[in-house]
Amino acid sequence: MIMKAINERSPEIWTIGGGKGGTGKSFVLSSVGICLALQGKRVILIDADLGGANLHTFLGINKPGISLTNFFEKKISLSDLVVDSGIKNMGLLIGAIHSLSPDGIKYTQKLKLFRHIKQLNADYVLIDLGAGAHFNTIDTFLLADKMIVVIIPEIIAIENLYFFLKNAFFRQLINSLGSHGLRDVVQNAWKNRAEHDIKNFTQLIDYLRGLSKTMENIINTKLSDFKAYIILNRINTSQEIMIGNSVKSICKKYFGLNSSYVGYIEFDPVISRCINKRQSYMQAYPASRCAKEIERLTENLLEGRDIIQRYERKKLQQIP
Amino acid sequence: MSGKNYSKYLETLELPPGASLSEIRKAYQHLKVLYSRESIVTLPIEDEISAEVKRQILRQIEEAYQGLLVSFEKEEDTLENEMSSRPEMKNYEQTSVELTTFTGQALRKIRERLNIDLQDIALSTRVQTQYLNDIELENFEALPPEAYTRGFIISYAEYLSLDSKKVVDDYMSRYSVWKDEQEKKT
Repeated sequence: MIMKAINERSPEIWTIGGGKGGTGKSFVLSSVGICLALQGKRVILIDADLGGANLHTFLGINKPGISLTNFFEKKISLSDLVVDSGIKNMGLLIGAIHSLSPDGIKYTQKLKLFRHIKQLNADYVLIDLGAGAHFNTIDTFLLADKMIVVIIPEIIAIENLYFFLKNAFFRQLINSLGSHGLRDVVQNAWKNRAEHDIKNFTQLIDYLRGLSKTMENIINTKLSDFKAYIILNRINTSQEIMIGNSVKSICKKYFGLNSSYVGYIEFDPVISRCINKRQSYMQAYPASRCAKEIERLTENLLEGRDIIQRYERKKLQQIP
Repeated sequence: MSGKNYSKYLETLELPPGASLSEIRKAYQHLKVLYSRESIVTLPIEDEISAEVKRQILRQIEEAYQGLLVSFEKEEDTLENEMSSRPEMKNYEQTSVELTTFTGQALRKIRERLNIDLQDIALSTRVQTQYLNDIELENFEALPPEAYTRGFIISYAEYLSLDSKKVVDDYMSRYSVWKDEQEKKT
C-alpha cells in the first residue's frame, strides 16, 4: 500500500468559479484543460455545474449517457464514469444531468465524492462549478488545490467576485473554527453586528481578531493561506488588462485576501462561433492570439505566478 | 538595493523583489489612480470602505513610492561615481524633463536608460515591435498612416511615463515635414 501511494500521486485539483454566470468559466476551463493535455499531462474535466452541465459542448462531443448521478445512485466507481473527451490525455466526467436536483448533494456525499476524485488516475482534475455563491458551490471551490475565478470587465462580474471571495473566505474560516469548537463565533458576531458596530467584511474581521489571541492567530493563518487565481476574460482594449491588477490590489488592500492575476483573454467573436458550431476553439485556432493568451495563463497557473512577473522574467533572460 | 523598509515598500506597491524603476513608477501611477478615482473595480465596494481607510492606503502608497525613489537615488549616486566617464547617465527624471525634442534617437536612449525592451512595450501596448523600432529609427515610410502612427507614439510615450502630448507634438512635427516633402515629390 505504501508503495502504491508513492507511485501514484493524487491529482492536483483546480476549481473554477466566480459568482456571475456567463463570464466564460466553462470556456476557460475546457481551454486550460486542453492546454495541459497537449503538454502530455493527464487531465480529467469534471462538470459540476449541476444546474446546467454543458462542458461537453465546448469540446464538441455529444452529451455522455453516464454522469455523476450513477456514482451516487448506482455506486459505480468514478473512474468508470470518465468518458473520452475526444482529446488525447483528457477525460470528461459530467455532473448530474437529470435526476439529481441542483442542491441535492449532501455534504457527506460531497466529501465522499472528493475522496474519490483524489484517487482518480490523472495529473490534473479541473472542476467546473456553476455560477452563484451558494455554500454548496463554495464548499466545492474550497476543496481545491488551486481556486480559479473568472471575471469579465463589467461592474457586476467584479461585484459578484468580491462577494464570492468574501463568502469563500468566511466559509473556510467557519469550517476551521469548527475544529477548534468555535463554529458559532462568526455567525454570532454577524447576528449581533449592530451591537458591535460591524458594517462590513473588514470590520467583522477586525472584531473577530480582537476577540482572543487564538482567534487572531486562526484568522491570520487562514488569511495568509487563502489564495485565488484571477483570470480576466473578454477584454476589449489593452487598457482593460490592468483591471486584473486593480482587482487583485483591492482584494489585498481592502479585504486582506491574496490572489494572483494569472492572465487575460481578449474578446474574439470567433470563440462564440466555435461554441455554436460545437468546435473546440483551442484545436480549431491554435495559433490565434486568444489561444496564445490561454497558453500563457495556463503556464502561470502551473507556476502559481502573476502575469507581470512573467514578462519581467522574460526580460531578464534576454539581458546577457 | 537595500534599505530597511525596501521590501515593505515593494509589497505596498504590489511588486516582486528586484522591481525596476520603471515598474515602480508604473505601479505607483496605477495604484494612485485606482485609490483616488471611481472605477468599475472600486464602485461595487464604495460603501464598505471609509474615506479614512482610503486616505490611509493612498498615504502608504505615496510613502512607499517616495521611499523607493530615495533608495534608487542612493544607488544611482554610487553608480554615477563609478561611471563618471559617462555623462549621459544622469538622473532620468532630469533628462526627460529637460528634453523638449523627442527624436526617435532620444526616445530610444530614454527607453534603454530605463532598461525596457521593445518587446515589453509591444506586449503592453499591442503595437508591433517592428513599428516601435521604426518609430525610434524615424523610418517614416515604414510607419502606418498618420493617425495610427500618432496613436502608437502616444502609447509608446505613456509606457515610458513621458508627457505623451509633448512627445507626440514634437515627433509629429518632423513627420509632417517629411510628409510635405513626399507630397511635393508626387
